[in-house]
Amino acid sequence: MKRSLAHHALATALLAVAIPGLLSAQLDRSVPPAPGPAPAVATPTVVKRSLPNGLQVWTVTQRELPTINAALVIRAGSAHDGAKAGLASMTAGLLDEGTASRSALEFARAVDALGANLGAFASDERTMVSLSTLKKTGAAAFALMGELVTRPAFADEEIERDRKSRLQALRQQKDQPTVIASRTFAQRVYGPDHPYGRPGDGTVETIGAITRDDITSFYGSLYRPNNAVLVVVGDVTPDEAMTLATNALGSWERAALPATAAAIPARPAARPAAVYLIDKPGAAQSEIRIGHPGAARSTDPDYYALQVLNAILGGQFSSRINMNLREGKGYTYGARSGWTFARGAGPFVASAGVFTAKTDSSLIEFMRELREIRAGRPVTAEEVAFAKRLLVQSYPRTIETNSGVVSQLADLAFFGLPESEMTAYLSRVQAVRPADVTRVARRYLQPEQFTVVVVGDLAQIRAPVEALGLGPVAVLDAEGRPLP
Amino acid sequence: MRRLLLLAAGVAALPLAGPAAAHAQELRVPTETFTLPNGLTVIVHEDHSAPVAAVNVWYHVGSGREVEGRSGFAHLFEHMMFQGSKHVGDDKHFAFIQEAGGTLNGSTNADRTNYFELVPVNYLERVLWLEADRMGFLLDAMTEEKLTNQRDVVKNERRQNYENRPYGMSFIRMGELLYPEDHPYHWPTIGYQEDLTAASMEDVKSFFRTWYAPNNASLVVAGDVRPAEVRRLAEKYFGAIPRGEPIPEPRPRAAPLTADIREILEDRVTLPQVQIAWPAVELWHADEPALNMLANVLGQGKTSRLYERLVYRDQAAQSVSANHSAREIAGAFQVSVMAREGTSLSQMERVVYEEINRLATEGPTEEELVAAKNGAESQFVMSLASTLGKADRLNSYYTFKGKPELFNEDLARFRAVTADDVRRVARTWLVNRPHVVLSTVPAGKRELAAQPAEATP
Repeated sequence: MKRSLAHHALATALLAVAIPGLLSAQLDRSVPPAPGPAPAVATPTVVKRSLPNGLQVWTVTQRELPTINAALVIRAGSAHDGAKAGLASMTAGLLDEGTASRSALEFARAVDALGANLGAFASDERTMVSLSTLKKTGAAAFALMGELVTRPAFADEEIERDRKSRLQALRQQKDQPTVIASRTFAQRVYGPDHPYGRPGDGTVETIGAITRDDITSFYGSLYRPNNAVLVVVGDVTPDEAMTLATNALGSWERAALPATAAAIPARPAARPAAVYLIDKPGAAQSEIRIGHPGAARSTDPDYYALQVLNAILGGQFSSRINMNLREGKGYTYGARSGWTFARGAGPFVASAGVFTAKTDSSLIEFMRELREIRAGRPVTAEEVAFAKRLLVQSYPRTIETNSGVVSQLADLAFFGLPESEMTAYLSRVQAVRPADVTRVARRYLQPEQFTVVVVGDLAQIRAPVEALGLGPVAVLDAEGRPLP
Repeated sequence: MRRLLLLAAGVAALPLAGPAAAHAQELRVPTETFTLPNGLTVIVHEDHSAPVAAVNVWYHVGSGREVEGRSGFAHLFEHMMFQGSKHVGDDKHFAFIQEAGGTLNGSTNADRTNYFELVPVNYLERVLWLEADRMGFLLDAMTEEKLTNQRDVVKNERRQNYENRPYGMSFIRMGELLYPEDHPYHWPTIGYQEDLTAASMEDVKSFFRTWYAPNNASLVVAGDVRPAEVRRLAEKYFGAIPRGEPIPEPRPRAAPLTADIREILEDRVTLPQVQIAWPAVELWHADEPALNMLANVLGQGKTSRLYERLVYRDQAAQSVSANHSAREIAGAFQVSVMAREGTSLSQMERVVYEEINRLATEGPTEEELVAAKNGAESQFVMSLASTLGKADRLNSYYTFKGKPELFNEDLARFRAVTADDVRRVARTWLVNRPHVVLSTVPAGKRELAAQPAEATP
């Protein structure tokens, strides 16, 4: 059969040149093919157990590849830094810089020898220790993960080495308009002392002052098995995962957690609209951030309506903001908006890098979209249907890979939500109606409270931005301090 | 048929029996390949592990085929492919995939342009309809207005990723210094602003007619699909698109330097950086794997020699990197070091040569080589997790090597590298060979640039 097909191929090639019109006449290309019936999606089966020390272990067996992905989620992030901004980040960064039994380089060599990937990283409210390994090196790789988590050395010379690197990186941040814009935005929206307003990587002053005692006490109080969840996905049974977890993390000691561990950052007081400009002489683009405090992760109906709202407003390519500023006006390579759903009300932010000469025009279009979705041009039934299809039908794609499943489950575990939320999410999004979207747009978007940050060439942008009347305009330095 | 049945199990990485078992795994990415009468090659990979389908189209044209005065055009053209074709409608291309819950994008480099989508499998036919419509009927929907808009978008892409990004311009400058003016890798894929301004509708039409023909493309469909069904759909949607003129395959074109080149770029940066680059080898050249291993041992990750010495021990550098970038017709080996404030780029440059010389003399240790190979193997296996990733690699193998199923041959090349190979390629391509030294320094501080050894006291 195959052979005779191959013979035919030559003959048809000659024919095809002559008859393309005939072939296309049989096909009406103006009708988009309708989708087939939706495929059955096998939701990952999560087996939940715990170690005697209180560590929860969530396992999903996926035998497609001989690999294992894991994440240890620890509820310790920069929101727990207190006045010592950068503490969570530094603690996480030092975990693999030497342990009780191995120097920093010996540890790195041990990981490399396995061909595994192992690293720790702190974000706003959590620290994630991530591992990916071939199954054949699983036991050794988990042992290294356990060593890093339970027996970090925090040696003085490693702390100093890390400090030097961080201080240098902080001084370099003023080179990057995107970083300056995001740091300043958080600081101005939440205030410099709020858990979401402090920079997660600290400042030159705070990083310079953090001591070994600060690090060990942060580690000792929050890095506890009863403050963490281990998610394991891949070519591994729940029993095997428990063995790996026990060998790696069984000796990790539980302890009472400080009251600060579970504290939910309060919503800051509402602030009137304000505009902050930071000079980047000669910059080809202006980096724009617009927003205010948003909403917390919850299973309240508003959460799902806010997802639909953002999909329409600025959460994806075909959203209003991007279609206007990029595809309509050509001011930018990409414009977007998003909610950071945290334990407390994380920020809502609309952002883009725009051509310097179009800075004021871009702000006008941003403000137009942010205002009109509340009143004037509320979401349509078609837009809501589109956004819901987008959100619901992307589900199979988000759990296509083991790392995708790990990331979904780690998120649920962090928020203390059940794994059933993976599918409950879909039906709750389905239940959102256009009126719900308009209601949350009016409730959660408050243009008269928008903080606007623009990092760009001040000489070119100052007068045009001031003329927009978006609020009082102040000029700041790259650290966010007011300039005269 | 027999072949199909045997391979229908999907992707599996099977440990081999025998003494090699601890080190070797056979990667299986079975494919069914056929070519339509118009020259379009279709490659189908069945993987029923998730109810998704990946579609990945490669056109064998990149910025390397651009003509004088039209740099950046291949990439600008890629943008035009998302603007709607005859039967799809303006601004609808993205929406059709997005409402399916899918993702899509495209990318351009010097050698090829790719377009890819990942969708729930019940939307496969819609994706093929979209890809066929823009392969066959793009020009019917093209307007001056769309071109003007995307020209602005691409100019902003250049501003965002190069002009307004610290060290961004050094990437462009390095290509210009490393390759002669008429070499396809001399100019940047993003292009020059004035060339983007000059791009016209006539350029769009002739570029499309020359390069976007089915005989210059290959289509991979991977995922929860059946080859017979994919064949039916491919014939239905792509079969009637006319074949274009024959297109010659690019040939390897080395670009040896005759003397060292040193240059200084001023940028809005805090830390000075030195990039040192040598002409090396193209994809699938016999020396490619050993050069990649050399880069790994020299400057990739915390266990690399330059990290250990310059970042960890001396604490003189903020970061180091090394990589061998083998492309279709040529390649380059590059080392970058970002110095900390108060340390000297000249000193960094000398250490780079010292460490390369040491590897050229002593070779890597057994431990270094094993770690580099294990890393390569596990990256290979893990890259199979993503259906889109597999699809793109199948197209790469097919486009550059004429055969999609080369996973094992590719991995075997890396497994076969010896310490002697690493030593030999360091001597052949790097030691005492002409190279480019590009210093990027804070504006007004040219004195911080790396100086040639004889000029430093």
